[in-house]
Amino acid sequence: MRSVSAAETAPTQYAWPVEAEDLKVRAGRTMAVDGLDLRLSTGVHGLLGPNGAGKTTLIRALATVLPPAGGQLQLLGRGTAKGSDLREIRRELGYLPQHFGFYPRFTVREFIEYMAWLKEMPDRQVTAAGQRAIDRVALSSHADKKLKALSGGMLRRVGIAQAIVHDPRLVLLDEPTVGLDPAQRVGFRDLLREIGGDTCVLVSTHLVEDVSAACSNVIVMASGRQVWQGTPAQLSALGGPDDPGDSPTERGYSAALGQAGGWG
Amino acid sequence: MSTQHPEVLALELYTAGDPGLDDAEVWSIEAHLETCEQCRQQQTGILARVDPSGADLLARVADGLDLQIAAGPPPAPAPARFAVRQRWAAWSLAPWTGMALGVLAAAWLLSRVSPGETSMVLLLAPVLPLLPVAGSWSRYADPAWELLAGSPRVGLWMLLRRTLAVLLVIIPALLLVSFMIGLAPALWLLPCLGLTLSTLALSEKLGVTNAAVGIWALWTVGVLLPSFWSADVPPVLSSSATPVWGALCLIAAAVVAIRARGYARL
Repeated sequence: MRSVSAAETAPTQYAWPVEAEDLKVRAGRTMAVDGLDLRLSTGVHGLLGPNGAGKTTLIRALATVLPPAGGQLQLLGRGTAKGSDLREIRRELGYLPQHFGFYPRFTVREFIEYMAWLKEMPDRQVTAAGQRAIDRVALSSHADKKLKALSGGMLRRVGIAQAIVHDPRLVLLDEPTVGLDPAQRVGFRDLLREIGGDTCVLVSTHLVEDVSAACSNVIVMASGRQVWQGTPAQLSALGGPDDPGDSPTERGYSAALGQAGGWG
Repeated sequence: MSTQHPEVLALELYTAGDPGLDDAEVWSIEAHLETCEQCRQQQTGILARVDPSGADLLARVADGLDLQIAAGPPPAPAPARFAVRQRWAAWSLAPWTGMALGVLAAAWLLSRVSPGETSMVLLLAPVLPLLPVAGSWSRYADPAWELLAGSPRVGLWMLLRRTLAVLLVIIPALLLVSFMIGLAPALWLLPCLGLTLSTLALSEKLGVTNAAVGIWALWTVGVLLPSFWSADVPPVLSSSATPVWGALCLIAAAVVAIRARGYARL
C-alpha cells in the first residue's frame, strides 16, 4: 500500500506553489533573471532555455539560496524576505543543484539521513524516510557504499534521493538527468510523474525529450525572462518543418526561441 | 471488489471459526472482507454477539505488543561517531582547524626561538579561531554548501554549533601552549572570544567568510605588523584592556541575539 505523505494530508492555503512577479535575481554582477513572471501549480514543469538564459539562477532563487534583487517571489504561499518564512519554505522544499556537492566519505545512507536531518525531519522518521528515498531511486544495493565509490549516474540518483527524502511540496531539479544512462532516464521520468501527482516539480534541463516525456507544462526562458509557456503538445505544435530540431518538440522549442528573438 | 455479499449465516460461521466452512468459502469471505467496509462492520457486530471477549481484540493485541516491546532489548542507538559528525561538525571544519593548529604550532616555535619578543602566541591567539569558523561556512570549502544554504537548519544555531566546535578544539590547544610558554590565558581569552563574537555579529550582513577575513586584516594591520617594530606588548593585549574586551563581548553577543532571525541566508 502506498504511504500517505504529510504533504497530501496537510491543508494548502495558497493558490500557486510558485508565484513570481517581475522577479529579478543577480548572478554575480549580471542580472541573470530580469523581470520574470511565473506561476506554477502542482505537476511537473520543464524549464528549457539556451545557455545563459537564467535557468540555474532562477532555480537557485526558488531554492532560497540566492535572494531576489527585485520584484515579488512567493513560495508555498510565503514571501522569501523574512527568516521565519524562509525556514518554513525550506522544510517543504527539495533541491538538486546543477553541481551536486557531497561528502565523499559518507555512505549513501548517511548522506541521505544527514540531508533529512538538515530538512528538520523528526528523528524517528529519518531512517525509514532515508530507506524509502534510496529505494525510489533504485540504490538499495549501494546504500552502505561510500559516495566516493559511486559512478556519476549513481551520484546523480543520490542527489535526487536527498531532494525527495522529506516528501517536499516543491521540488527543484537542475539538470537531474546528466550522467544517467538511457534506462535510468526512463526510470527517472517515471519517478518524476509519480512525484508530480501531488507536488510542484520544476525540472531545468537542456534535454527536450525529457520534457516531452515527463512534464505536464513547459516554460521556455531566454535572456532572463519567460518567453513561452504551455503543454509539451502545444510546444510540439509550435514548430514548423523549417525550424531546427530532430523531433517535433525540439522544432517547437526552436520556434519558441525564434519568436523571442533567437538563442539569447 | 465482489458485489455479492456473503450470507449472514456464513459470516457468523466464519467469525466463530466454525470448521463446517470449507477452505474455498473461507478464502472467498476473507477476500470479500478485505474490500467491503459494510461487511466488516457487520462482522464486528457478529463478533460482539458471538464472542464478547473478541470485541476488544485490537486493544488486547496492542497491549500484548506493548508488553513484548517492553520485555525486548531496546532499539540500537545510532553510532555515536556519526551522530557527532552529523550534528556538530561541518565536514569542512577539519582541514581548517588543522591549519589553525599548525599556525599555533609555528607561533609556539617562534616563541621558543626568540623568547624576549612579544609572544607570537599572544599576538595570534585572538584571531586563531576565525580561520576555521570562516572555513566552515565557505562555499568553496564545503562541497555541500549549496544544499546546506537551502536547508531550514541553516541559521544562528548551526553557526553557533560550528563555532563552538571550533572553540572546543582551539581554546584547549591555546591553553596548553600558554601553559608551556608561561603565558597568562587572561591576556588572550577575552580578545579571542570578543573577536569571534564580533565575526558572528558582522556575518549577518557581510557573510561569515567576509567578516572573518575583514577582522583578520584589521588585526594584522592594527596589531600584528606594528608589533614587529615594537618590543612592547600591544596596548589592546595588555591587562588594562580587559574591560574593553569584556564590553565588546557583551555588545557583540547582544547584536547576535537581536539579529538572530537574520542568519537564515549565509
